Amino acid sequence: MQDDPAMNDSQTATGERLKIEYISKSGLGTLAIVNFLLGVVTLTIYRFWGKTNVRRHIWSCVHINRQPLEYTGTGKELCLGFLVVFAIFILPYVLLALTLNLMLGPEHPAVFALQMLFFIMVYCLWGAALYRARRYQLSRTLWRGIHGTLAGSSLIYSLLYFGGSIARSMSLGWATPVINTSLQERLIGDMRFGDLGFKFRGRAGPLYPTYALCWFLSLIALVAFVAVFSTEIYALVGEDAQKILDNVFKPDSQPTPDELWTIGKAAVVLGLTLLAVFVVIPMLWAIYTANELATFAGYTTAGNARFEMNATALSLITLGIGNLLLVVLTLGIARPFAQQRLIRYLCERIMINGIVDVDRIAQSMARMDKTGEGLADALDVSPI
Amino acid sequence: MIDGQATFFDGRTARVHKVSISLAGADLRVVGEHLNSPVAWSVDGLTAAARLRDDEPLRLSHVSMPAARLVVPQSQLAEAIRIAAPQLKPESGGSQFVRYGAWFVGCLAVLLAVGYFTMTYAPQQFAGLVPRSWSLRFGENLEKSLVETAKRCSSSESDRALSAIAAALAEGNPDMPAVRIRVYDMPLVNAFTLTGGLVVLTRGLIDKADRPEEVAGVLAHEIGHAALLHPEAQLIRVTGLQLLLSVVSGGSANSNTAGLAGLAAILRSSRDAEREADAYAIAMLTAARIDPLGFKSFFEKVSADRPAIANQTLSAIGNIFATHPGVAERMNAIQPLPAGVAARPVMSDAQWQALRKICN
Repeated sequence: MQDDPAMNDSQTATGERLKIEYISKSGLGTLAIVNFLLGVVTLTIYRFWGKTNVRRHIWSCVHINRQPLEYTGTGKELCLGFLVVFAIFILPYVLLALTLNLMLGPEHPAVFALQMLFFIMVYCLWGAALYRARRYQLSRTLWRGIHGTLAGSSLIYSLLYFGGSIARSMSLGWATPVINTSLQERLIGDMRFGDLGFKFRGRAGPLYPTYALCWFLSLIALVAFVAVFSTEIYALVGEDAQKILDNVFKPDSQPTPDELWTIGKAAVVLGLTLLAVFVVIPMLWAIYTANELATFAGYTTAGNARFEMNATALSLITLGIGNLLLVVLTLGIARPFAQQRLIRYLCERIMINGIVDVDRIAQSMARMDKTGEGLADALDVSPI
Repeated sequence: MIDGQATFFDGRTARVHKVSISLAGADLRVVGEHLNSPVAWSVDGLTAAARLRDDEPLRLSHVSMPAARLVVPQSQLAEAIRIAAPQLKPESGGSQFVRYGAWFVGCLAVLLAVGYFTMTYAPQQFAGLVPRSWSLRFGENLEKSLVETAKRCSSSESDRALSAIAAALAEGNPDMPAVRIRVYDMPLVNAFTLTGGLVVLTRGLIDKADRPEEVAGVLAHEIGHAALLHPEAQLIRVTGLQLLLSVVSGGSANSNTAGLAGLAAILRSSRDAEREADAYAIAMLTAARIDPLGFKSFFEKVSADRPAIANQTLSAIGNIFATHPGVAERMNAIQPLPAGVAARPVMSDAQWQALRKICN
């Protein structure tokens, strides 16, 4: 890093090969602790500045051809973005819901209608939130003095996302590869680094064999868990199930210690079964996710370079479980480290094959957002 | 003058410029083969694009070219730039600690102030500002969700008996607020006051009372809550908390206010509020010349047995006779009528018998 070997090693007449590395450095632990403490006393309002500091750190560890990325966003921008969304979207809803609740009672149809309306609005805006968060992050990412952006419309992406979610549920999930492919096509197609555009070309077809595999495996797993659970519960409780439930949960009941013990055992079995369902089934889906990541990377090009990603189900599972434990066991304090693991994973496994004429990439003249991510913060969609 | 080599990005293209730089006085000159013209940066205008670290090259920018980056490897030159441009110096660990510590303390103070405002100041100050029609409507909604399917007990005779208690209490208490007293056919022993002066008694409470003075005592306590606007204050408290929560959660949490937990929070009175209502009740009973020992004996009777509470919501609210510490103290505060003051009967025997059968 003292010098710039990119100049000598990989620069050719028409461009450079690009290599991504994650070089970690000290300081993330202090950030994690400061973010936690200030988060507590500000009732999490510090999150905008905390998030910014973490991004600044993680971005600066990502090196492309030995030059680090730089995150130029600020906590103020994130906070303003949140305030805008809060003022025009959340606060009116909360006040209206509160007033209706007080005036008409919680069971009035108007209260329900308002909740549905809010839910549908959130659902419609979800895609826009994702898109705008991505655009903000790209526009605040600097490499060799050039920043990125998303050149398209968040509204169109949002409609696509909304329509996709409906199609996904109507098709019992089977539309997922097609929808994900078209969403990714739009996102990557809109992505720019300076004036360099990214392209995404490919079909969803090749994703279907693994999708079918995961879908049927999940179904089998679900049926198996339900069967195992009901047999176990039946063996534990037997035919007195209803009587015991009545005895334990009826008001003023005096359950015997035996009944309590049986119920306790049943609760443990239920807990373990749910855990199995929520751990095993996502683990099965890692097979599909790995295939999708690798396929989508292969569909992506920039200049004369094509991306490649070496994602495997096992590595994704390790990453996911590690991050889950890291966050849960530290009550969220170590979240920056989980985010670092995710970015490091991507850096280590993404390769860019071919040559990009980096020297000719010019700064984009696109207007930059003044505020960032309000919607994404409100809906909590941004992973980092 | 000090010279050296560096890498430069002009912020217009992603090209890597190998440049020579020289620091002379207050100017930093950047000269490179492919640069259109040499770049002259004033030392004053230099900014650190990344926090300076000893194990990394200097990453500099300049106020005149915010997207440009000058990367200077660690060297004598880098050291000279650091000295010439003291604004680049990263904050020391100690002062960073002090700064974050100050923010922590400051935020903690603001947090406590916000908490005090939401939990204590605003409820006390603004309870009287809730429009009467609102609090009445809200109280009735609350009543509906609390009594669930329980039958409302009412007959012309028993209603007259309830009115008689209210009238007896109003004697000598011209400031008594307007209240509506309702009895529901519920077995548990409880009484509560909702916003808008709505007082709810259970059949269990009436059954448990042995003489009218006991019911009068409980009612005086509940009227105390209504007069002191405790339910309205609690309503403001919960509303404020809900708003705070929506800021904290960024709206992603469920903002359904009047869920059952919300109801419980609205109705659960603090120990101070109970004490205030007790004091109000004692003063009221004394002014109305109703024997306060009825309140006391009822209190003793109920706190002796473990309250049997069947309804989930109601058990979350607690009970005016809840056996928390301070009950003995509350009971001891109830004194008989002053010597020489004769107690008046609350109602006739016939009315008392009618009240006892209110739910039949």
